[in-house]
Amino acid sequence: MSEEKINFEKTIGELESIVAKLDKGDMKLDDMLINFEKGIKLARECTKVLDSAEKKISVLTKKPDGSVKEESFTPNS
Amino acid sequence: MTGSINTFVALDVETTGLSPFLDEIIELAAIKFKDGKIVDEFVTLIHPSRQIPARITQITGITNSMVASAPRMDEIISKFLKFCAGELIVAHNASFDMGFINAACDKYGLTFDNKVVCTLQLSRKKLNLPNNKLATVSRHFSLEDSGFHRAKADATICGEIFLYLADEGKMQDISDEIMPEAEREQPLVDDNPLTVTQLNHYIKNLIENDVNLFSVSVCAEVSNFKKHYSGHLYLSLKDDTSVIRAVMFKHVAGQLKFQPEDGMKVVVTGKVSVYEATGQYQIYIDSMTPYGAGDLHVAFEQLKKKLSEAGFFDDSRKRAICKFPLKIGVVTSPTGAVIQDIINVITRRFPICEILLYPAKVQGDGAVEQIVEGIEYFNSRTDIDTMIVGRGGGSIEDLWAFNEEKVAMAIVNSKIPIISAVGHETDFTIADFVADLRAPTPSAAAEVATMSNIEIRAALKNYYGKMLFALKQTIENRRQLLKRFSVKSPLDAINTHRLRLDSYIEKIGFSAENILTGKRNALAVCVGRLNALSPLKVISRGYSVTQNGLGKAIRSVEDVDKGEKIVTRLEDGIISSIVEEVVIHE
Repeated sequence: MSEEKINFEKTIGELESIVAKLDKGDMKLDDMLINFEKGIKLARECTKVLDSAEKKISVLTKKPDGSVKEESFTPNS
Repeated sequence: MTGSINTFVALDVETTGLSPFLDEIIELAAIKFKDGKIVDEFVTLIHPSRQIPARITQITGITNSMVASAPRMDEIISKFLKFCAGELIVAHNASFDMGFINAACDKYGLTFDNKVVCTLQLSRKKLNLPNNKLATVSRHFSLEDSGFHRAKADATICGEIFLYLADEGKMQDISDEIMPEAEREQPLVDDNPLTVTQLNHYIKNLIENDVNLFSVSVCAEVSNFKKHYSGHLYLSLKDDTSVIRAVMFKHVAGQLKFQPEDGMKVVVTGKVSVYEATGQYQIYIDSMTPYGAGDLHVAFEQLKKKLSEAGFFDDSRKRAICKFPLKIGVVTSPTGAVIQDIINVITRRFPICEILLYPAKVQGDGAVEQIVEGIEYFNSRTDIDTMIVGRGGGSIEDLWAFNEEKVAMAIVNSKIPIISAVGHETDFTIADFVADLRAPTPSAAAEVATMSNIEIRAALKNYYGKMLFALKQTIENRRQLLKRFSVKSPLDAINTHRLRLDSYIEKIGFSAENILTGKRNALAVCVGRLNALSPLKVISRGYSVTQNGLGKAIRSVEDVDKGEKIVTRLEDGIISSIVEEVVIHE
């Protein structure tokens, strides 16, 4: 999950550039098909990341030694 | 009794200071001598209406607590006068003591008109000592000195000095030594000149004891403003005609929200006192506020101007906000609606984004430091895409931490893009100006920080459609191209050429026609002109033309000879003639 997360922005970026390339339409048909297939795969990956999202909220607490610890945070409003 | 020294009263007072008008007696001692012996005394501490200065306690040993239960002057003054009634008064530097006694009597409508002898003046006259202080004179007569200046001891010594002086001088009659009235109220005796330090000290006390000068508010213009490296502020306060020096010490200057500037109109509150080293009186400022505007308002404008001039508000400096943040650092209060709103919006819009809260005080003491710490902490990590720094609405005082230079600089120096979200939509803070993006509210900050899940899905769908369309389009184009190639044959080419040929032929025909018509028209014009010039036309208007036998028109007499046959053409016929004579006109 976390690896997929890290790649999210990159994935979307790649997808966007493929869409732009295909949109120009001056590509060999073979290349076009390859790019198309890749684009579809990237779009699926992104959707998968969105579907599998789970929210994570942490609060940082300073320990006496100065280091900072992350703990799950539930706001008490 | 006058002039007799058989009976006298030696007098000494201890006071809160040097001025009979400003200061008060705190101890009074009157020792009655008769025939060289002490026969009675009137000694009392007196509770003054003001505090005893520390330096007086140092000199006399008399403390505030010692006089706390002592009687007040109004309770003892009559008893004292009764004790002294008719007696000769003896005192060292009597003008000082008498100044205080007279001032006290004046206050209660009493008079003290006893004869007075000053042992200081007497000593100066009779003895040849380097100075005539009580201690010096008492040593001269080998009298004991208590060390502390207490009224009873000093009065006793004074009395004894007087006895010695009288004995030495064989004085039976001291009427010559009686102090003139005029000298009795001179507190500063030239025999005992003050040092500059003493004088400045005295003046300082005078000013510091004035209730009006203890706390004054002055409206003035700042000039000669200097911030010393020690943190103290030195300035002059002026109006159109006057100026006064002023100083604001570090501990109060540190509280100032705004920076005083030359020309700024301010209201200061403080006490007036004297800097003894220079004798300069000045205002010691406790608080300063800009005149007219609130100090926070002025501070805000000052910092805004400073940071703006430094280029920190420029858009060119601002970092782009991450489009798909996976970790957002939030610096705000862990309680209250702000963090709740941010969490709600982010988890709804972009749930894959992790939220990290750095809990910080957002107002009051320590808020600035904690906010700065939070920003710096997130910058120490490498996985934070975006930061939101903010708090909910409040008064300008509540929001103040976000107008502090430290917070502003932490935002400026952040590597991570920062979205500010302070207060409500109408609240603008310095943090908002330096942040990479200003959101009107915390919820809005969360909105701009993230792309909505729905938007992303829609975008993905759109990309899918675009790719598909592009592919279909391409395939369709290729098919069309293929179709064009498959239809072409040699006959087509011939037909094409034939068509082209036909069109050329047509074009050529058309051109030839055009040329002919042009020529024809030109010809008609020429014929017309020719007609107009035909000699026959001239003849028709009544002229004639004569020709020789060869049909050549005769233009000159030289063209004919005598006897030659000529023909004249007229409109309606010809005349044949023979030339009889040829005459040439001269």
